[in-house]
Amino acid sequence: MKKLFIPLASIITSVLITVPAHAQVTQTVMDQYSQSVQLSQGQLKISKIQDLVLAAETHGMIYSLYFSKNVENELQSLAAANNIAVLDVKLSAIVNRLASDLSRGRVLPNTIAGKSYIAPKAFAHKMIADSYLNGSMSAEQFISTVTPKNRIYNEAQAIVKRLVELKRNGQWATKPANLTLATVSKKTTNAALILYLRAKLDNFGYINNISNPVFDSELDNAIRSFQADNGVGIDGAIGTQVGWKYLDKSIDQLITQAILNLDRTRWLPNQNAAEYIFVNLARQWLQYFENEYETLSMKTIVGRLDRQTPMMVDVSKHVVYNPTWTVPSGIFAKDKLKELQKDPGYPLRHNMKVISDITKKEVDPFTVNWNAPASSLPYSLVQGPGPTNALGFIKFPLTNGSAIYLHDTNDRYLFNEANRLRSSGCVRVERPFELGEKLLKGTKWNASSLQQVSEFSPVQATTQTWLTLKRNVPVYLFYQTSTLSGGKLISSNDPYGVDAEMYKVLVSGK
Amino acid sequence: MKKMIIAALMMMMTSMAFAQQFTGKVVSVIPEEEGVKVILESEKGHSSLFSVRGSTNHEEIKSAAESALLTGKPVNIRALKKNSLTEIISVKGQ
Repeated sequence: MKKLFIPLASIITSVLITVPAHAQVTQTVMDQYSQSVQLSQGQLKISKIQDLVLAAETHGMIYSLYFSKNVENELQSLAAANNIAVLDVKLSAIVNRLASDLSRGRVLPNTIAGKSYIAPKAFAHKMIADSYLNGSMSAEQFISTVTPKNRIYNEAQAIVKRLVELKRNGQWATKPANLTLATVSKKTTNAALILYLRAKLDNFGYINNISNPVFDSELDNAIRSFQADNGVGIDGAIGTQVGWKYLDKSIDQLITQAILNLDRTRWLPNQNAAEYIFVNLARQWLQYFENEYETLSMKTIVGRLDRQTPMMVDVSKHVVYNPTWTVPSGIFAKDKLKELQKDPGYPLRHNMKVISDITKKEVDPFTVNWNAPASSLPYSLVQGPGPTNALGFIKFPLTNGSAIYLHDTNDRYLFNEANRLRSSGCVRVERPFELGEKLLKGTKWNASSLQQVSEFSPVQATTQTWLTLKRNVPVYLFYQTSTLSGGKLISSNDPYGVDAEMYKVLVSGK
Repeated sequence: MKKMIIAALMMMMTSMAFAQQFTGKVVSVIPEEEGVKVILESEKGHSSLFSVRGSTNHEEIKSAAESALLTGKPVNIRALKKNSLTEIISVKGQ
């Protein structure tokens, strides 16, 4: 994967940081213009569009994808031949494509099969593209009109800008050639190593003092904060296996990652609702936002690599306490069937019922031939509420048709693990009662009362109960490998390979 | 490259040789966290088949099964026993 990133990173960053050859042509044209050399109508039109594409670079757009050398030559030939009608058509296509890319993504969500259930937005900016071409709109106005207006987009764009500035200003620390990376801890006395670590932590926004060659409490705190944000073990030491792998990334790789992330944010609605849940599948992290301020955050457990949780935009309408759990077919066929073959009384002893998939009615397990092949047993096992229920004490249903939702768990210790890609697709949340309180705002319910009727219920609760929210709350199951947390930059791994898939589409030039 | 082609051919041949054919009407499509369960009714009785989310043509299978449930028209389902489940390879109208 890293091998894939390197060439694109250099293409993208060279475009973002240096003036591209094609843009130099524009500059020449503009210089001629300023010297009162009469430009043809066609050349003026071309330079106007080039200015627009250059301005869009701060939004992660790549100049060469719109103005390749071949395209540039073709357009200049049309201008020289004064073939304005054809030139207009070609330029209009470029502006329309740019408007589409800026508003809904250069890479569309349906091009990465199986990882996203988000539908591409409709393209609604043809009129705006025409306005720009007709001269009634500036490049900035054009870009501002078509780009999303929300916190998620702004944050992703801020990351791109910040990284590009670090590179442009030569502030991105690179490892001195004679320095060998080794574990840095309280015992470390290697001044060069400590200074390099400080420089890297400064790059990511974790420390200010980069000139102290001693391991002090400030460095210790910065390391611990970095480890907490990146979901790795917090021990105040940066090792070669994990810590340095996160810190010692190349700036080109990070800029590429940030551009892919920025492009992805365009898949989401243009404006966020007053409240919404944002689950970052790449970080296995949930945030609750109210008026774009984070008011709750927690760890999550999401789909394992062969059962990835898909990205989706959904809505929460209900909270269910004391939920039942239907045993998935895979577990039924692999584990439960053997138990049923040995003892048809198994369900009764495990708070489970056998339900017919045809009549939806309960079936007496002693009347079924469990030795038949799994494919001829159209039954489901449904576990009743209680402490052994796999969904825990509370569930947050969604409306998608794929049975993907949020829930508590009876395996809460798994939240202590660094690798939280463990579910079959649903999202397990670390603090379900607090999330329930947020969602049930405006009702009599809060975290404590939800816990009282379920986990702390003196009489073991046996009834699944649905509560209705006072308003619908959007839920984004999304995937960002490049994020900001209190001004600190977090560059996650790409566990589901979404960046890699998008990268392939991007370099294909489609 | 050669090895990859041989492996792909072997996979294709295996699925062709061991795939089972089920014919009947889809009477239920049950979404699950891991995919979708399709209940088929035929003269022989009911069959419980599964499509795993994340498999290459899962969306296509799910959509074809849902469509067959709505129309009530009989379908041919090819499936392969895999990981204790009978996993659907394709759903086709008759």
